[in-house]
Amino acid sequence: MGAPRDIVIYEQDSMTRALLEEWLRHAGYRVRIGNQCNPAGDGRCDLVILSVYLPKRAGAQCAREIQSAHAATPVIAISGHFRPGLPAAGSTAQLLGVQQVVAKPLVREELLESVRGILKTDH
Amino acid sequence: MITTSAPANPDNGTNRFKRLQLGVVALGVLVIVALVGSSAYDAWRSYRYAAAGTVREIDNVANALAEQTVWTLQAVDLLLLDTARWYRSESAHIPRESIDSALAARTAPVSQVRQVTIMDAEGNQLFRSRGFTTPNHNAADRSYFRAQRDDAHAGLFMSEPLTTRSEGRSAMILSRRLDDEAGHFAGIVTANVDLEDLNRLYRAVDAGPGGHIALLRDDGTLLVRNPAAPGFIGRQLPTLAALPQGPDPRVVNPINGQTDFIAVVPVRNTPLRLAVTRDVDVALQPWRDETIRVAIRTVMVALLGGSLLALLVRQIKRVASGQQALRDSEERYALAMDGANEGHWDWDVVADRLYLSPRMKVLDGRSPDTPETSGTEWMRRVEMHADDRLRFDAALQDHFAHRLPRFECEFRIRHPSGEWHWLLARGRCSFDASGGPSRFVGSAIDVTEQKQAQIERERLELQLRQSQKMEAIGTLAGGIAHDFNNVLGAILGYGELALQQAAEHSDLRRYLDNVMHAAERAKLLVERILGFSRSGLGDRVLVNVQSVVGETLGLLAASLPVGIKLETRFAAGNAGVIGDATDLHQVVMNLGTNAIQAMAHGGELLIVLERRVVRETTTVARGKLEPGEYVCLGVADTGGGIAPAVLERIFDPFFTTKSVGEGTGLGLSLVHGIVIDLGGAIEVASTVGQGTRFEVWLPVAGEAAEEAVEPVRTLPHGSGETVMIVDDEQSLVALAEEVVARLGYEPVGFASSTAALEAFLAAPARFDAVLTDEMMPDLTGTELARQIRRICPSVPILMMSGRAEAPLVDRATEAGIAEVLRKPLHGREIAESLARVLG
Repeated sequence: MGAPRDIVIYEQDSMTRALLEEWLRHAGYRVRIGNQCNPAGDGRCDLVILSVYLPKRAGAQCAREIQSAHAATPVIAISGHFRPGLPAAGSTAQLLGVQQVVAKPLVREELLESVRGILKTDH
Repeated sequence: MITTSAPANPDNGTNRFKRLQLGVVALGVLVIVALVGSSAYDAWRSYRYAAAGTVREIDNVANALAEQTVWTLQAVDLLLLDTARWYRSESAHIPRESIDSALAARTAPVSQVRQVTIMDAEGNQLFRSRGFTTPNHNAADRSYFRAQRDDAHAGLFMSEPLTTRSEGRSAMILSRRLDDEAGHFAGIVTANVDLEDLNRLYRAVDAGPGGHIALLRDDGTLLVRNPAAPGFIGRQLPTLAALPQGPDPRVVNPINGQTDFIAVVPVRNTPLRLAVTRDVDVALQPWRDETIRVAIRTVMVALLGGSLLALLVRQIKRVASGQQALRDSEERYALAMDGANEGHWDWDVVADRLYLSPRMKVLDGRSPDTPETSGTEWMRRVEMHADDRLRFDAALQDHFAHRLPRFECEFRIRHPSGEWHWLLARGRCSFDASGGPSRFVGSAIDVTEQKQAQIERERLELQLRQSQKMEAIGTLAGGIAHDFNNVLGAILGYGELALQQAAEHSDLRRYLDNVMHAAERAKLLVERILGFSRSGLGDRVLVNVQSVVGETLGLLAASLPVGIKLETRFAAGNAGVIGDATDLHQVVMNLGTNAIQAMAHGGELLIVLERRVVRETTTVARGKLEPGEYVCLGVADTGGGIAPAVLERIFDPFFTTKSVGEGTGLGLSLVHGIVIDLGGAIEVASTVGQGTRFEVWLPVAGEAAEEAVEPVRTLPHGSGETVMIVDDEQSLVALAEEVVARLGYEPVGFASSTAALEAFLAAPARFDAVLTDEMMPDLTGTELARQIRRICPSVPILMMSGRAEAPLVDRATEAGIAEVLRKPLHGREIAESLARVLG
């Protein structure tokens, strides 16, 4: 394994954010918390983990801004609105324009597998 | 529907009255004509009587007078004959100077003779009864002399009226011939009859008013007339002397120029005729007076009759126009009723007589010419809907008891054809002096269509409310799920991290395990809520419906209880819908399971899958079908059916008819959510006691290649091995038991893991395999497996779980579990797994 990878997390829920940070740091990634209001200022990274809160229009708008700020970076979308058992890279992922989707509540192994999968294929 | 009663022909009544009027006029005229005719006949008859009577009367007078005249003249003739005989035989013996006196003596008794004269053959007067106070005249030129001289057999001769030369008086001379012994003409004897004397005789007879008496010679010479007509004596008036002809002879009187009735009688043995005349005008005066009276009377009666007739005709016209007005009014009423499609009734409550208009009878579902009946009979006969009868009776009683000013009620009645019809009846009762109902009149209209439209509207509103409710619940559930998943994520995530730190078999480890179990259950619940509320994002691909349904039925068929027959008819081909295969699986599974559970005592489960084309927008129980192609899944059972009140709520979340713990109440709401999400609709029809049929309509989005589905019969079967089944949800235990039994194993189910462990400890050799759920209170699946392995390491253990994730699989393998099966259970997986572990 080479240099640690940079992952930026966009998650409003502080508990989930802390948990993600915990898991990812523990797995050996460099984790930064993104500024939702100014995603462009968060700099380059290898992966974006983006929490999508769909029912709110502002949430969707926010997600699009973040995605465009990290146009060349793979994104994992996490949401409480994804149905359990949803294929990680299925039509929903295509619809959202992200690499993978992971349904909440998050399961550590599942999330880490997704992250590993993306960062592995990336190199 | 409804036969329209033809309006009465308006000409009938008018014609009847015209005929009546014509008849009355004809009869009246006939009576008047008969009256006038009878009067005219009477007048004619009395005229005949009057004329005949007059003629008879004057004839009698004429006869009597003629006879009288005969007697008068016979006396004169006798005098003449006697004198002639006396003169021939005695004159020679008596002195000439005493002959005059002798003649006078003879003449004296015959008063009508003024003088008797004897003349010689030359016409010289020889002797006169009155002597010769006047000079002696020769009478040789006189007719009475010449007649005797020239004819020896002249007999009695009567002269024309003449003025006597001796006295200058108007008289008539009668003469007889005197012969000598040799029979030669020796002279004549004459009697001078004064016409005045005869006239006196006639004057004594009353010829009646306007009557005249005339004595004429048969050549028409007028001799005597009464009343006097001096200028006409001696003139020839042949019309008076002619013997009359015909029944009531009449003549124009030459004396006064008037028309008279006439009777002419010849005076016997004389050349005389007696004529009696009577003025027609005078004679007929009484008849004329009578006739005028009769005529006046007749005219009066005729006028009276005419007036009565006119009055009668006028009355008839008034009645006719009244009748016409009544008919018009009735016709307008009937037309209005007909136009409004209303029927009406009139119930004489006291006499219990009921009149129903033909239309009303049609509304009752009977023919318009059904005979009249009574109100109570009607009530008994009409089949009113049981739900409406009480309301109807209450409305009627309230109105009859003055509690409601009007009667108004909507109710259903069944026609003999079996159809139910909604009627809206409005009426008003009139009351007698004591306040009791006397007459109840009203009208009714068929409002079935409006009612149906209203019911349809209410159904749509209900459906709208339903979908709004589902949407609201969805939004709510979505919001909860989002936040709750974060919370759960934290609990599960940190719990897992904590577990890694906790020492094996420590209390802390056990506590954390329980926290994890609880959180897992909470996660499952959130999943289900997301499922029915459809607020979660799912995959959307083209799914071959038939293959998914077939696959699901494979599982259902494997778990089918004894006594239930499954029949399938698949004809949907490669019809594909856009959605998630798991969703479709859920739909079939839920509907199928429900149907099976509804047939606790056996029955037939019919699953039909076919393509259908909808031509026009149709509303069904849940959702709306727009025109297009659909694939229709029909699931029909022959179970107990669903009561209408329950049917309305079966799709509501958490609504369940099952006992607490048996069902979540989310099954059908999950089906509903999925189907609506797929753009489809659900129709449901149920008859209590006969069964229920669900129809799921899904829009066809294209053709999806069919995945190879393995037929159910190729599944590996067991041979009576006993399988322990453990799940804390009773329904899942039952389901698994059925599946396992179908596969040829002997299932023994437990809803509690501790009970299962106790049973195993009691008889470890009894069980050939164990199938257990992971998440259970008290004792988890892995813990149970561990305990069982400790007693009997050889028994194979299978685990089933909603989420076969790596940590669970690791934990399970560690506990000695052979395989982990993913819920929901697939018949094939179970079959293959059991075959593997037991084979």
